[in-house]
Amino acid sequence: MVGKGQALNRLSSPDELEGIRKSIIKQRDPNKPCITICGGTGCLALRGESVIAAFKQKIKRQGVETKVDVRITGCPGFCERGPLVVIKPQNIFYQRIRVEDVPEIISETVLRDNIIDRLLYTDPNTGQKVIYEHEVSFYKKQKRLIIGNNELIDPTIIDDYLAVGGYAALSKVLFRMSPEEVIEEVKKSSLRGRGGGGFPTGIKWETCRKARGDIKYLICNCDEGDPGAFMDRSLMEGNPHSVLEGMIIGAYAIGCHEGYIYVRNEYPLAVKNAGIAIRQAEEYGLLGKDILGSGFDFSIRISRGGGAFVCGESSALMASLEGKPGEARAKYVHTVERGLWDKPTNLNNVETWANVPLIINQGADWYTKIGTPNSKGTKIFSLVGKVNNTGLVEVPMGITLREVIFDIGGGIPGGKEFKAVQTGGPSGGVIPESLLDLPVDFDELTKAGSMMGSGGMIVMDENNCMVDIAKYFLTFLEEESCGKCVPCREGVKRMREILTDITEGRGKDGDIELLERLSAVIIDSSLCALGGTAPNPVLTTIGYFRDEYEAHIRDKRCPAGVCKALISYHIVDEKCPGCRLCEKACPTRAITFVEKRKPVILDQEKCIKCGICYDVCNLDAITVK
Amino acid sequence: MNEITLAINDRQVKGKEGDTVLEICQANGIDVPTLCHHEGLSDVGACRMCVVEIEKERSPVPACTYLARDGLVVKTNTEQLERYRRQILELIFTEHNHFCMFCEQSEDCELQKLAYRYQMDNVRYPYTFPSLPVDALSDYLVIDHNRCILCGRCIRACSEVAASHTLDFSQRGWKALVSADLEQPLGESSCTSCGACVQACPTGAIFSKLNLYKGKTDECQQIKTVCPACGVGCELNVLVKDNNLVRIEAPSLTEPRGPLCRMGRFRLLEPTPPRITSPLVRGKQGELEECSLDKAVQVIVERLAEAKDGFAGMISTRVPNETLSLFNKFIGEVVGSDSIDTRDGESYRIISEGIRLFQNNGRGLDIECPIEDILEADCIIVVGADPEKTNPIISTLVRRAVSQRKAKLIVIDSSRDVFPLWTDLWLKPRAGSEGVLLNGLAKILIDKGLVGPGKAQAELIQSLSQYETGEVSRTTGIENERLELAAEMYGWAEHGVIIYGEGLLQGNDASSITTILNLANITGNQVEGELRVISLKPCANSRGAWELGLAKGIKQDKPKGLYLLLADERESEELLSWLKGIDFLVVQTSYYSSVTSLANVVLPSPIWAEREGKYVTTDGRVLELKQVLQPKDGLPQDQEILIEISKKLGHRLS
Ligand SMILES: Cc1cc2nc3c(=O)[nH]c(=O)nc-3n(C[C@H](O)[C@H](O)[C@H](O)COP(=O)(O)O)c2cc1C
Ligand code: SF4
Ligand code: SF4
Ligand code: SF4
Ligand code: FES
Repeated sequence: MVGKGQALNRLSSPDELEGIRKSIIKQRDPNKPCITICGGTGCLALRGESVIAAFKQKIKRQGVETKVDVRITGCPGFCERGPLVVIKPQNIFYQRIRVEDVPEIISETVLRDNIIDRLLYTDPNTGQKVIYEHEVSFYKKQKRLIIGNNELIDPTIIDDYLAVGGYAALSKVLFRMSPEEVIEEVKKSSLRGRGGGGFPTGIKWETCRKARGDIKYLICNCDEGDPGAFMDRSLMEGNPHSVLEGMIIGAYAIGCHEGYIYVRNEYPLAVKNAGIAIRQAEEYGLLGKDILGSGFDFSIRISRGGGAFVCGESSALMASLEGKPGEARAKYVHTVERGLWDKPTNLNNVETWANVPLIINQGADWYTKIGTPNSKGTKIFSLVGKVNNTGLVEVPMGITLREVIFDIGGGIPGGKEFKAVQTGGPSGGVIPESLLDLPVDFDELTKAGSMMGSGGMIVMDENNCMVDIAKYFLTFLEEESCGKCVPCREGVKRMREILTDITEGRGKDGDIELLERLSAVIIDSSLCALGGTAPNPVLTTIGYFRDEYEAHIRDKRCPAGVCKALISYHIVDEKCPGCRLCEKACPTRAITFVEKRKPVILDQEKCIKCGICYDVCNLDAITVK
Repeated sequence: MNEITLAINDRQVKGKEGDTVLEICQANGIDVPTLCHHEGLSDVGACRMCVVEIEKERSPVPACTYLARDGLVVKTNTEQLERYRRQILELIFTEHNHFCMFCEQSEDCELQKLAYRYQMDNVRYPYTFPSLPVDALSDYLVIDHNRCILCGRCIRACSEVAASHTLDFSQRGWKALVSADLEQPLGESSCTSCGACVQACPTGAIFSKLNLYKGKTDECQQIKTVCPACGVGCELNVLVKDNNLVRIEAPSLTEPRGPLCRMGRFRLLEPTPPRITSPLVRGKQGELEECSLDKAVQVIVERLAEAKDGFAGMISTRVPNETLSLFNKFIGEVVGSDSIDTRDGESYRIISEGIRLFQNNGRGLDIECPIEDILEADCIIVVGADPEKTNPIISTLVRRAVSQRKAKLIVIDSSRDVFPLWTDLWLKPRAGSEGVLLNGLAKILIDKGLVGPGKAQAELIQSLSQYETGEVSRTTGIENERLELAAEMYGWAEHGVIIYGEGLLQGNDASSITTILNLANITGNQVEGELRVISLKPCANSRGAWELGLAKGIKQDKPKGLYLLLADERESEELLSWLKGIDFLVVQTSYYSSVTSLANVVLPSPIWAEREGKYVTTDGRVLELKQVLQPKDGLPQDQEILIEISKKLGHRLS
């Protein structure tokens, strides 16, 4: 088997590719135990690195290298439960693994087939332990066409990708399809860009193919500026070859010979794995000159971005790639016709590219069976916030928000009420309980005032204040506005200031209307979509939770009990036995102990509303008003 | 270009394919408010004031960046658009500090005008009034960030027009500030004080100390004239109020001779030495005393009647052709001397000798190319010249060629790299070995075959045989490889331009100039008898004076008497030391100076703004100098004085 560090043989025909694929598969015993450990950024951050080291070391010590394989895989998405370990072939699912658990897993589960109960996942709703990965509720309703391979392969070993059928689509395209046929197939699949705009990918490719110019560029957008989203990172780290394969197919269809992957600097592992993947693909002759002996040339370079949110926007990204400040520019000519260095340029998102091999392999007819009339295929969301199971979830378009949040996400923790879900990243909108049965696709989300965006999904419960949430997102957008155009630079700032005033008790009659009026000018006249969508969080919260705004403005009251200036903490005398927990916790000594079995006294003058007393009280003896 | 028709506000209007909607609106008298747009600069669509509605577009689009197409249906003035514009103005107005009362630009401000137009009688947001810095460290310019609306016009002017690339935004979002060279004070940055940014700025955020509170545009008379500061011949738009200079602007920022430099835009406005307001003669005590013109003329006439022998004339080339011609006649016919020169005659004699030696050419100065050629260049050699000092616009054109056309820039200078941020190759020959270096380059070009067919004649090849590369390298102190690199850069160029000036002329070496012409000739850098060579001449009308034949030269080492028409040229050390020891010195000049203290008779002379006549630019264009001010205290013109003296001597000059 060819692995890390070894030189690979150049493949110069489709047959040679199939040949090597067969030999890789043949060498692998599907029944041999294999410990797959997630090597994604999420698990590594939870000390996954030492778990991986421990496994390697223990296996060596116990002299069982021949009996068991170890594979460091990409991220399967359930980061919250990391570090994750799955024992194959049975698919035994262990979560939150610590170094101390490693010897036991090897000796008990791998060598003796015994399940270790304490490492299993407990379903938050049923309270039952789950043994097998496919039975975990988080995975059950997902349709993991794109992200599913992450857990099967080691992203630093190209043979792993070949073993799951990698580069077959490329081979098919290069030798059995004309560029026009490829474009036709992608058009027929109705694939829409996963980077936010949802633009039909096939049409974009066709326009770029037809654009005048001998040099054309192709770019993969892995900027992923939305702080809550990480599916692009996961794919780039966990299965970079699927992205490369998509890009090469696109390049062939469009007629590009140079491509770039634009990755934000904060994604070192994505940069590293993409670099390794490029090198290995080049060595195999799957990238570079004369790909697979077809005569088609395409090379890919990695470019690191500064990490500003707006740098993910197409024209700002291209400016940044050219070494200029990452600012959006007026697109009087579309970037497909004049983009990078004024040449026709085709930009697609990581996930969009990763969909391409699938469509080519399975065919557009198969692909269009998944999803809704206007949105086909699956979409990866990053499900976070007040929900039991958080992580990356890949679902078919058209699934309802309720299914995602309650079936996959396992509902709201602590028995709290669901309040709203924010989709689409910082400039997406908030969707209330009443719309939970909304089928998730590009158009439905937009109709609800939100958007698909990057695929962020933040769940909020009764303890979230909607004005505060709107302020939070606007603060982010205010910081990220490049400042080039007035409506976004100043308008968003003004909106945030008004929201700050409202949350701090300075709201005035007319503020809501002013926010709405500002929103209109910002949406309609900003230069790029950052400004064009920035008011969404405000407009949707006003739309669905107007009463909450009014409570802040008129009654100087924050119904969710979040906005400090508008709340006060009170001791519920009947419930307080004077246990002194809160007294000890209060940083300003605002709470005075009287005597045992008598309630403590809270001095409002001294209280800074930090809420620590509320959090430490076990007896619900403190309330927020 | 194809003609297109579109409907704007229900009116059918025509335009050309490639025009923006804004351009078509403006051409058809349809008013669309703008702030970040400036004629001649690229459009960025930043302020969004110009948003218009276009059928089938989802939301309004900025007219300034939207390319018009045939059949577009455009609305520029719907209620919604006007509401948006007012809202945008309101946001701009409250962003920084626009308390117009204390603003130099009040009444001349595009923002303020729009505020009136949109009746900004109240704003719905608190004024921010941030305390932003004011950068006043530059000689001429001030940036007051508190007035800045972040439209970026100055930045685009700085890079596209001045090709200086000094200004850019630092920081992002609403924290953005215009900043010079990564947050340097302007005065310590690469700023050349050309003032293109001042002219581009729509508000009072960048202004010049020299224009401060002198007058508003509407109160001024505007006169177009030509710049007297150097021989490039830029057009000036001079604003005058109550017979005082208020401001000098470029009529167009985009013409090659358009943008103006610090000399044309600012230095002309600087305080001058005290003016000579009346004729002066040296009295009994040896002091200069004011007198009538008659009296002064009398003294001169007496002296001339006494002894015309050994009397010479010298004139500044800042004066126009008419004055020069008359002076020529005055010295020749009235004084009867053939000893006449211009202040810069020596330069002329070197240049013309250099041209004569080149294939015995009779074209004279016409062999040089227009300065616009620099903009077409893909390789430029600057040898013995410091255009940033002497002719800043030439330096701007060089930078533009380098930044916009990726031209290669070679500097040949024995003391310093005159384009430190821009040069591709600086050859630093030992002082005095420039000629050897140039000949060495010619030989490499011929040896490498980088010459046009039939261009290198046997005679030339023969004369270059002594310039073996090794030898040249030893003499000049420059390694072979660098010489060869330079030769290749220039040899491969399709459009190579050589610029030389002062530094080379001081060497008094006409053969270097011949070599330069040879270089251009053998590499085929030639069109219709013109070679792509430009000499930088010392004064605004040097070429005029030289072509009128005034640069004959002073015959004597030290003439006994000298009539020096210095006009508003400033004194120089070299002039002063030469003047010492002249028996009888008449100086016609605008200012008191060390020169006047040597003079026996001093006569007044108007300054550039008070004169009129023809100028010939360094590349031979004839331009019109207009009178923009009435002469101070009704002083006579230079010609009137010369005629007066002639009359007394019995000559009728006209
Ligand atoms: C402010 C802003 C940020 C964006 N950030 C990203 C991003 O991080 N990643 C991305 O793929 N697209 C991003 N986009 C969308 C891109 O402009 C572009 O539409 C997309 O990359 C095209 O690829 P697709 O057609 O495959 O979606 C952003 C757009 C805006 C306006
Ligand atoms: S909308 Fe915002 S981010 Fe986009 S160009 Fe304008 S200021 Fe920059
Ligand atoms: S820049 Fe214009 S609007 Fe601002 S204070 Fe000055 S005159 Fe007024
Ligand atoms: S200084 Fe003037 S020209 Fe420059 S950005 Fe500010 S307002 Fe615009
Ligand atoms: S003038 Fe068009 S956007 Fe500023």
